Amino acid sequence: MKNFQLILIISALNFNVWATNKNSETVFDHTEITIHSVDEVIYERNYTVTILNKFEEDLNKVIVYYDKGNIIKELKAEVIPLQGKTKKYKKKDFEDWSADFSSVASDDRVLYLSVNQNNYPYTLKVSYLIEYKGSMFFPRWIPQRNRHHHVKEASLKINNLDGINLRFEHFNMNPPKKDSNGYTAFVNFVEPFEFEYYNQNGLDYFPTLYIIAENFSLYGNNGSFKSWQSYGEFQELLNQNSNNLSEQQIAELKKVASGQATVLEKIKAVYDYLQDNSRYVSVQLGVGGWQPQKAAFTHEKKYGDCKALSYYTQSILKVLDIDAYYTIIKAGKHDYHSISEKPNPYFNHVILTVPVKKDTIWLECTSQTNPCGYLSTFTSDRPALLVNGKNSELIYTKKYTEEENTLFTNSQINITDTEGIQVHINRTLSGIQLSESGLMHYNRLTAIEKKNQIDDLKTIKNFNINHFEVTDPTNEIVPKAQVNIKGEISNWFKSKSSRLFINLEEYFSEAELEFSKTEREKPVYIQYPFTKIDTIHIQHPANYVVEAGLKEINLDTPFGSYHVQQLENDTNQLSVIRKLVLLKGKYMPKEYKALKAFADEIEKNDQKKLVFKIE
Amino acid sequence: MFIQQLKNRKYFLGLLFFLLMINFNAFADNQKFGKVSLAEVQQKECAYYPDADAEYLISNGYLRILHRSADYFVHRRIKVYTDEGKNEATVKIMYYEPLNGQGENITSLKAICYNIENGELVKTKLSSADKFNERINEYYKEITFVVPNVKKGSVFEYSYVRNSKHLRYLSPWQIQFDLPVALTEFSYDIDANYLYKIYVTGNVYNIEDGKKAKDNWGFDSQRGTLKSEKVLPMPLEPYQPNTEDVLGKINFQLIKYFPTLEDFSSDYETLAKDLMKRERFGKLLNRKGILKALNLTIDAPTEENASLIYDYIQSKTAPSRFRNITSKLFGKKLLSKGTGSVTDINLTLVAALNEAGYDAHPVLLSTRGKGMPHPVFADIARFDYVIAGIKINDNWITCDASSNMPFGILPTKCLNAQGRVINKLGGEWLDVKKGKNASNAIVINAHIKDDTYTEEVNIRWSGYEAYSNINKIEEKGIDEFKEFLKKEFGEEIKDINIEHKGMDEPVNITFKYVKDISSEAPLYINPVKYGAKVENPFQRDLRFSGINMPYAFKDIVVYKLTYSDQWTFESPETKKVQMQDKKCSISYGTEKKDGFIQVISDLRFMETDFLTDEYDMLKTFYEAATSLNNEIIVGKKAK
Repeated sequence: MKNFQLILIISALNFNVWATNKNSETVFDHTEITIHSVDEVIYERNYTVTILNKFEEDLNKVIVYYDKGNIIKELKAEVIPLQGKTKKYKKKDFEDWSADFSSVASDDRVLYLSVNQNNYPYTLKVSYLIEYKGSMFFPRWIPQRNRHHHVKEASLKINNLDGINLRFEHFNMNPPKKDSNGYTAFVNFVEPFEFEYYNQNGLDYFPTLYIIAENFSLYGNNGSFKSWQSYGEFQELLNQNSNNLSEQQIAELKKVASGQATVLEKIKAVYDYLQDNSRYVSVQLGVGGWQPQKAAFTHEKKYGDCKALSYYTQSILKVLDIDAYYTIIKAGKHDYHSISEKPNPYFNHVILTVPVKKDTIWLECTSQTNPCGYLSTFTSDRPALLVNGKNSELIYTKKYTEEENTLFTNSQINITDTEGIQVHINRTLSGIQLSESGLMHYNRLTAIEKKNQIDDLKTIKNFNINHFEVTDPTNEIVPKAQVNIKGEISNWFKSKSSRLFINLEEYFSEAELEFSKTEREKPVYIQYPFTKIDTIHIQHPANYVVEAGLKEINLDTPFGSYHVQQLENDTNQLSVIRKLVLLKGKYMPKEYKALKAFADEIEKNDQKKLVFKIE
Repeated sequence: MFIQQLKNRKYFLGLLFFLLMINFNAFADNQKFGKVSLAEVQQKECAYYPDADAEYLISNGYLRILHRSADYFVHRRIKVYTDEGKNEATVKIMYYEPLNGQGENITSLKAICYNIENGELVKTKLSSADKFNERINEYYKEITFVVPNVKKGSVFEYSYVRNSKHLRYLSPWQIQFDLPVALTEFSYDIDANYLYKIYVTGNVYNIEDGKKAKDNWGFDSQRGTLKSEKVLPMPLEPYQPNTEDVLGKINFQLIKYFPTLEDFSSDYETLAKDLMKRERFGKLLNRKGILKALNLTIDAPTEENASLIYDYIQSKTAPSRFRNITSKLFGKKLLSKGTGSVTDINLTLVAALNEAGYDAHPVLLSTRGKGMPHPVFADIARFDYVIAGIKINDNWITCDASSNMPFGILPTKCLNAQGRVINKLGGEWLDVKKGKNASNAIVINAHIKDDTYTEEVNIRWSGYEAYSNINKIEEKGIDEFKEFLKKEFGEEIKDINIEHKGMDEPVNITFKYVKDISSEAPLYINPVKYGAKVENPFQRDLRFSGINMPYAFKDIVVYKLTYSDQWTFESPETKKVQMQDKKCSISYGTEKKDGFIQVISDLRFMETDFLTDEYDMLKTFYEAATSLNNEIIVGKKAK
């Protein structure tokens, strides 16, 4: 799907609370949206921004997006340097680029002007007018461009000449005011800020106004955002004539799941067929940005984008009398809270919902490699619009729990005087822990890539791996895989040493929890919970005596738990067991101190060393 | 063993080349477009590279230059083995097509996909619905075609002709890709009016003896065929920015057009002389009036005054995105607009310096990631950047006014390979990496008093270590930078003080670390820390390309601990390790007296470039060095 203009590039996600550096300052910014009808909207913007230093990387250029439905009618810019003459630019001075490099074909384009100066401050005045032939996507009003941008004031005026019904959603700003002609909105003294750890949700930081036309038009197709249901009906209408599979194709597809008894087995067979008989190719032209290509075309060509492949899969399942629903979603690891409860169009992806007895499964139809029903951090645990005519509704995709996202590691360390230190690691990964590890598709790599990846993932110092093996992920909704690694540690200069240090951190799985700031302003989101259990067995010669060991730790908090224990169960053998559970949660700033204390305690304990004195 | 096999680079990079004088139409029958065999579609894996997602069964090309026009015939046949391999069937061809002026043409595009259905070979042809053409920007367009009906096991092939009138800028013929190539055969047939230098670059090894093939194989300049089989792909590797250089390619460089006797650069001297004659390059260098436009009067060509001119031009200009070796916007016009290309800015600087009486010249560079200029064959296409070089008292000073660096210091992206000074005499090579280094000096004064262990730390970053951090400090602001240091060096550090005067001065950092040790017995202290290298960046066993670091560096840690006679300490031994030819070394020294321990770790990298064959040694050196830097001193308190 297409995402509508004003793409915010959110850069480095760092710290907060300190007075953040200011790189640019808007002194004037007025936007006027004049709605003549749902098919004709004029967008006019004038802004004046001062660039304060070399670190400003967004506002030192002028970027205006357009496509076939949105035409830039006027565009000019002025650069007022600190000294010297003002330079004026017209539309013809702008460069015209394609705005979408990930698609094979797209209408999205951009007019671009670089006005970079090296003498600060300088001022940039820009004005443009765009004619929109539709109203499904009103530009979101986000006057602050990036986190180092200070906005003295910015205003918005909506002239609702046609009297259409508008709905607003506002974040970090006052709601718009109604006036005789329409609405006005205003912000001032918007300060720069820093993104905080575990919160990359722009809606928590930037003043943002969503403008939603209750009844809209898209390339002449009328729809409504009155409810999720009505929006679903609109999408259904766009989809309606796309299933044009021929009798012959239907007969062919009927064979796909032959021999499969249960519905789940049939779905798996269809998904396998899809993965074998298609590939993802993005084509976004005109209304095709929102409408799936015809099922027969996808069948014949064996390629399509997320809309086409989801729709095609839905059509195959229909041949087998299995109901499945086209489902619109906002995909992305950090985009799980970008869609609010009220109907809006800010989605970017399509998947398929297949209700199965007891459970519902979701199919990611663009993946050539996912196990059937696995969603990963791309689309799991978030709202999505299920398109089903009058029964369209907002649903929630599968949430992977801390029992499903697991990492269990067993490390056997054998220390001998003659052969040095041998290490054998056995690891089982499941759910999101597996897909985020980068090992999900390990066996699809070439021999060189396999060895390189295993080496790149090493956490143990001077560890020479001589055997490694990763199993294929199981074809389950929560896939699992196993890793088996054997190797030895080159023990530089230790021959005459009187001690052996074992940095347990090198053997522990990553805590994935770290806070450095003492203060917090925004909520903390832990979206992907997990359980990690590390068991380390150390076999050592008799003359090795533990000089420094571990104290038992038992932390049980509302955020999760952490347990460490050292066991000396046998002569010349000891074990360390560490269990870490992190729960899903949204935590407000007042809870931050306790959360940080939990994270700090884990970090401190994980850094402990096990020291053997050699006697 | 398997890994040993991988490590045998001869096996993995072997390319077999024949140089045959055969007719270009002599491709074997089964190599022709449309002649895909049932066996090819039935083939289950790539025999010589079994994990391949896809394979080029054929990658054939034919270049014909005739009557001021070049036609590049391309024919590729691809076998798909896995679902990932299917993505190869989306093909993009970018071509030069400026809004104003003559561009290239892509013609005769065709593609067919072959599958076996019910035991029969079934063909699916590319239709117009599978083809897209898009303008990328004012200079380039792109054709994308999506081969239909591709699945695991399919074979598809495509062919097209690229026609160009820009005979000086022919794209090289690529031999090596990220997929294995079963057979690549390339022929060329060049009009006798033209003289081309034809040479091979990339990691091309001779399969017979494992030695790197020579570049100047003396290919016939008129006509020839090059053939190689079983060309293996090249993995991406860290510390090798010039990926494009690593892939095998055949390059075509125009030297002479006989009818007009027009001479194009055949060697670096000629290239320099030619550039000096160009309106948009050499002719600009003696233009006057820039100093006046800058409102500057220069009394003598001293280094200080050169720095002044540099500062003026640097502050009045900022670089745009576009890079071009010649200048579009120069001198007063550039200064008035404020934005120009890197070349615009640095040629204006050279002209201003010349006007002030300096011996200044443009220097062509190939930046990190863009490959290296060929040592013998001068090809302007292999440069992408122009800086200024100034000779004062027989010493070269290089600078880039489009950067934010102070006079005489190049940004890291410029530290890639040798630069070429351009002047009327033919110019010379300039080692722009020479003398460029980064240094990190860490002094830790530690003492134990009662139950408190204290470290007073002083860090001094100089050279490139300072530049990158100063940029960070300026961007983040001091408060946020302190927070960054805490994250790097430990949350417990306190009383942080950061002192930095300017880009050409070192950064000084001081802070304190205090720890209660009442419950700690024994006490384990790692004396080497706070940014000194304690991790080996080379984790991989395998290495196929060389290593190219931008600058030399040294890390010095001096740790001193004083303690009362309640304590006894054991310290590690003194060691020194160095790599062959002293390219890098570490000396780790300890000294112990009554109530005092000192540890000095001195790690130095004198060289920046290492050959593939040196990788194992380098990795081993780093293992040893980081092992030393992880040594621990152990203290015990009398009971």
